[in-house]
Amino acid sequence: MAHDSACNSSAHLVSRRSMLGNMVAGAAGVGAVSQLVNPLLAKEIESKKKQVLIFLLNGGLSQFESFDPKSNTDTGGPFRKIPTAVPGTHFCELMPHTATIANKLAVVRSMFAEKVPGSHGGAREYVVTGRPPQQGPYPWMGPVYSKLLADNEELPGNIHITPSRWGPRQDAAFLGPRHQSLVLSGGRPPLNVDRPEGIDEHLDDSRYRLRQIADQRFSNRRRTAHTEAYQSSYEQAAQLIRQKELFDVTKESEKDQQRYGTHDMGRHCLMARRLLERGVTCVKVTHNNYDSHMENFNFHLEQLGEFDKPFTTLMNDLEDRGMLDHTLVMLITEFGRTPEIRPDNGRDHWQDSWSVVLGGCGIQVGGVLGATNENGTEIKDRPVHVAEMFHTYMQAVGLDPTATYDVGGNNVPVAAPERTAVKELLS
Amino acid sequence: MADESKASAEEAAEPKFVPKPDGADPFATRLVAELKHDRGILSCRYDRQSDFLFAGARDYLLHRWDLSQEPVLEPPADPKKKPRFPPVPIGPPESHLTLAGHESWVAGVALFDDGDRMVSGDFVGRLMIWTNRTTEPKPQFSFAAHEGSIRKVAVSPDGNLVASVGNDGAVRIWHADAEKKLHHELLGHDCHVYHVAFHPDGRSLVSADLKGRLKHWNVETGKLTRELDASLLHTYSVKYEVDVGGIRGMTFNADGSQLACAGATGEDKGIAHSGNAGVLLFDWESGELLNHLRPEKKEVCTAWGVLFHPDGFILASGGSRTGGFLWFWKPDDEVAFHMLKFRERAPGFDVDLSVDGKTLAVANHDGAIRFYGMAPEPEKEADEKV
Repeated sequence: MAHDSACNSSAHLVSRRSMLGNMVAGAAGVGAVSQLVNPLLAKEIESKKKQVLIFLLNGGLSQFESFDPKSNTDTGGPFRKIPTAVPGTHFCELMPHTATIANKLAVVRSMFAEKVPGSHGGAREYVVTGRPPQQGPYPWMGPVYSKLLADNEELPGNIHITPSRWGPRQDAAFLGPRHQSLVLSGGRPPLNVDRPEGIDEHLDDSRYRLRQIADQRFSNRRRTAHTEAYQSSYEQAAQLIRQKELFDVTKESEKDQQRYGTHDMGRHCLMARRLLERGVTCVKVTHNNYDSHMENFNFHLEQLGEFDKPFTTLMNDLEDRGMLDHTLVMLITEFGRTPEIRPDNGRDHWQDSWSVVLGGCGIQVGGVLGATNENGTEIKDRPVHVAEMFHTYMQAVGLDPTATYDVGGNNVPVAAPERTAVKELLS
Repeated sequence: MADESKASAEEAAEPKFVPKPDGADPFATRLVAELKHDRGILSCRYDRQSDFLFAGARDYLLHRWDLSQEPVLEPPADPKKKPRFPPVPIGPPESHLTLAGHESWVAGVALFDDGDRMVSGDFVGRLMIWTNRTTEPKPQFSFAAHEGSIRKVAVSPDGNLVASVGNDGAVRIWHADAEKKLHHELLGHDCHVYHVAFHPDGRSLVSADLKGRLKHWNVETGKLTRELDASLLHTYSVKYEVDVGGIRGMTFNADGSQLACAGATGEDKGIAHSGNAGVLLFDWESGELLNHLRPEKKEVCTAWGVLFHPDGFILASGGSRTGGFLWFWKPDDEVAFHMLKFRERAPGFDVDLSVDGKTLAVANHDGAIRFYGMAPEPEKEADEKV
């Protein structure tokens, strides 16, 4: 039987979103979700406690200005390479703090993908679904983790902390809106999380109970996936309202706020820690402005200057709290940037080779996998395809990437079946 | 070459600028020679007799070319193929000397009037003062002058002081005769400082930043005298929440009565495209903006280098991925009276003028310094006489 949420139509998603507002759109749910999962996946109870922290450096981080420096070559840019905590491994000097935790990271310098339609959007989709966008839509990693690691949890399983001006995206595909990212645009709490003026907690509870009664009467006669979705949406919305302090980063100590930095990236990383500490399964933090066709070096100087310290602080805090044992950390970007320095001092898109960094649970850290040639124009050792990485991201938290979803009676593999995980990266 | 001659011919039909007899003729500007290198060139300066050219590039070297050596015609790479352009004489390899010591790209080069010393600054903040520049150059002083990149350096008219600016937001004036002896540290910029210039009277210094702010400093006291607003050359991208643009070229005219600032103006185009090339002309005494000089048609690119020509016009070099350009203005006209589009699609990051005022040296993105003569080709002169 085809599941309603597998219709891939956006129409019902939009109507729910307009009804419940931004907050509920992210948290909206589809009931009877277990119908969507094959028994194979149901066995993966052991991975339930796993968490995931994703950093998306949006626009295309330059591998030259980060994890694969080629200083003083024709492609290398003005910045020097610096030693890291791993002897023999160097990062670009724009990442001095990250260099001190290289022993907690696994660096892949040989990522590649075929060019796909849609420029940034298409390439990003390839990275976060492990499938080329023209084959999709497939669920992004956040919704996948929400589905496979956090199903039936009260808190949203997948929260996305974004720069301002980002709205919700339909990233859950056939997993349904319950697993769609709850977007904290600008790191701010979801919209409509405060009760309307004049409605106190008591009145709100009464109103909520009345709605439940009406729902129940309606469901008794007309129970469908849609009605369950509506009910689930309200349940999660109510949870969010009750736990709105979850999103208040000012509740963190002044000292911590200073340690992370008072700029957006600092606040967003501290918010990520707060969410992970309170049990949110998958937290994604997006950092913008890496699409440096012009002034690549200025923009990377600015952006990595903002990113480097709070990222490192968060990694250290997760380790201090013992959370890296069960939290997979990944630092991804949709593609790299050209070796050639373009006339505007920029670098263009480059899908032939770039870098990705992993850490935390399930990952063999302290090393570098793959290599590019002397000036970074091509991969010379151990090419790693984005779809292989998707398998790896799953396997690192104990999920079986070869398992399948039941989508309308069809078995849809979690990860592209023609690829496998990168064994060298897994501990 | 076709572009150049066509543009020249069109403009010659209705000249808005009349060259002086025996002066430079902007309408006749044409490529006459080039110096080839394998990395992009960021800055260039003629020696005072124009017998040497010094340049900073996208490598860790300072470069010197001996211009007294006769340029040669390079044989075509593939004799079977018709070259895209007529060959241009190039500086012979033996005319090129490289000077090591820097630790990153060399962004700024300035020469002392004594004919002996020069100063250079790199993208990781190292400042070097060199001696014997025309014979056997060697470092006299080398020290860390800034946290992060040095963007430009300048030498005071009396040669006693050197100024440097950089990404740390600081403007520093150094004694030129000592290792890292600070005369003044001038603080106040809150962003990257891209340019610095001494006023010809030597008593004032002006620094210019990413946000288009100019600060006028008293060299003797180190006090801020005033600020000038060149923020037309800056854009804040709302979508990307970043500052874009800045003052990329800056120079005083010979008597110090005017200051020209080059960069890009225009609407918010995000972080992938610059604004439109433009030069702001200020009256130095009053600080008033006299003119906003712009190309005839909007060019989505940046004006990187600017200079006052002694014949009374202003010129700038610049470009983007759409191409490289030279623009020529009369100071009182907003629109350029002439533009030369380079045959190579490479912006000119810097420009300098030979001592006779007839040749421009342009530092190009594609790894060449190109010389543009501002005089008609001798053959054409002969034809006209016939």
